[in-house]
Amino acid sequence: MLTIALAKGRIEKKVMEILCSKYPLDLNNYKNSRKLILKTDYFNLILVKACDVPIYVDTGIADLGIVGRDTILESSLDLYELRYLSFGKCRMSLAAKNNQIMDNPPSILRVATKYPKISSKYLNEKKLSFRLIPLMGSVELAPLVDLSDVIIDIVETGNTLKANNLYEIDSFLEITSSVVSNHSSYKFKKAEINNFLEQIV
Amino acid sequence: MKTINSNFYQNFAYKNELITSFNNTFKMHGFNEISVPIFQNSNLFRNSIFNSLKDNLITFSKKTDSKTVLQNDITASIAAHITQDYDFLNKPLKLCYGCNIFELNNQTPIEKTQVGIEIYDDQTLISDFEIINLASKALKLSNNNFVLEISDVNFLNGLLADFNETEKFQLIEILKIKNQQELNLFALKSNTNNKLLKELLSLSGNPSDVLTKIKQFKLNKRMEKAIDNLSSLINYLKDYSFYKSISIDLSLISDKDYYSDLIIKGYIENYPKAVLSGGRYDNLASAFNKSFPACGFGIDIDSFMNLKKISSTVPYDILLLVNSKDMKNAFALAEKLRDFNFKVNIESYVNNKERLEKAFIDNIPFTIISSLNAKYTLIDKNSTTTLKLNDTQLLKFLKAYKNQDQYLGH
Repeated sequence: MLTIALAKGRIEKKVMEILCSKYPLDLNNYKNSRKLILKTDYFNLILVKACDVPIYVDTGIADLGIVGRDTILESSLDLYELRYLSFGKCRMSLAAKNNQIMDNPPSILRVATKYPKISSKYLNEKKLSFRLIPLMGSVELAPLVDLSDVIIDIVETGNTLKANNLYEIDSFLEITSSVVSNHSSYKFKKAEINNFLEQIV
Repeated sequence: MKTINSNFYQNFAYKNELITSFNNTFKMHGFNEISVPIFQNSNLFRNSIFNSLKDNLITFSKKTDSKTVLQNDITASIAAHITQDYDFLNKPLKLCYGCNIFELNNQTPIEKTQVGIEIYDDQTLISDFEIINLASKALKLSNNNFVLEISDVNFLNGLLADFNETEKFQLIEILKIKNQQELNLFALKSNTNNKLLKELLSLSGNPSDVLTKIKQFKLNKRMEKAIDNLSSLINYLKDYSFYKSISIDLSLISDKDYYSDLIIKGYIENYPKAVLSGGRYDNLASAFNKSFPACGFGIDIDSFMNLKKISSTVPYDILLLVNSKDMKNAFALAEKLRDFNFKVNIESYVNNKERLEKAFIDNIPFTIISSLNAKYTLIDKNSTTTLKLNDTQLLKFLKAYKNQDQYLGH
């Protein structure tokens, strides 16, 4: 039986909606409980914080994980990204107060981000000299208080950027919710996994 | 009662046991065990064939020796070592090893234990069969189900030959993450081989099925050669019980640039990553201006360790608790017992009750408590008997016990 690590929050809500429409699940108890492990007749679900999903899959605790691609890429773990899902769509973007900053960037660009690995890869590809300022949240604040020159963050509607007078300068990566698997689970449970993917898509 | 965590030495004992089991299996096939040095000259990795290794090497500061790196690739190291004498060595040359490798993982130094084999022989098909046979036997030692994936790098390299460098990189990245949606998009944009590209991820599984399915596609010469090689090999493997665990994956990406033909990857059920990796590397010797065919594989011992709960092993046979006033006699007794092949651990006679409880938990077969004038109390864990004996009686009893082979499988 498959064990699936599910990112708590918006992805969890959407996935549970889909799963309940595809499988005859009795999840009445789930809604009002704080249970982190849900056992069903078809699969076991473990509910974890989004950033922890890749590690549960990579260590083999879960066969599959469902989480945003931003989290998967930032984890740098060697997982199969078997399927992109149609929800949780957003983009990874570079934004700044000055919309022309990248025309003539400072000698060392100060970049505030929650995604140091994705940011480093992008900035290295652009051959820029930079200094990362890792933040845990409210990244948009950094350029407003001159903590950074630019930010790299996920953008969904762009409203937060606009509300803080920031310009989306380069949108460089499409993000969506994604189903990942560790290598071994895909070898030993391929039919079960493919069957699940057909249901979830 | 406080218990001592003995995991650290039990892990070590288990690791050694595993390495010995693997090497004994290899020796049954005529392999000779060698040791591999920890230090390596970085010049070894100058050739572009080692590009994928360079970022992971652990180097020393310039104050010591900037040319020295820690062992990172045993295959390369052995090939470099035998290069000069290769023409004078008896072939086939079959080597096996168990040693540690060192690498950087996200800038963190990692030490791994690896066992493996290397075959240097002109008889390609026999050697390829040998490494698959031995890889299967090695994976079987885990007592779990296993899958041994095989492919030939010439299939993918033949396909990639039609693309520019950027496209090659994109396609390899897509195959690494096994994403069909990205592959469909790539195939859509591509002018060549669209049909084959779309099906690439489905060309995996039962060898006969894959080899039948591939026949519907138009292949270039390099890809055809790869399929011919795999077909010949599969014909040999079909007769063996491990065949059911063999799978062909034509989208398999080799993790080292020096693989030239066959590549293999082994997986064990309930362990999330590949535990075995290898293949044929006929071009490797060219990095040292030589040419000789070679193949082999390495197994990550640490992943095997993670698979198995370490069973508690008995660290010694006899606990001898020594009375400080009779140490001379006790030491002499211990040596005599060791001459009879008993493992004897001497400790001072301090907190007797607590120590006896610990010996019982640790499954120590015999505990001897020394008193004055070479008098001893023998506690036999299995029969829970306690005997008062002098040294001659004690030796006689234990010797008889050992001869009767009643003794915990020793």
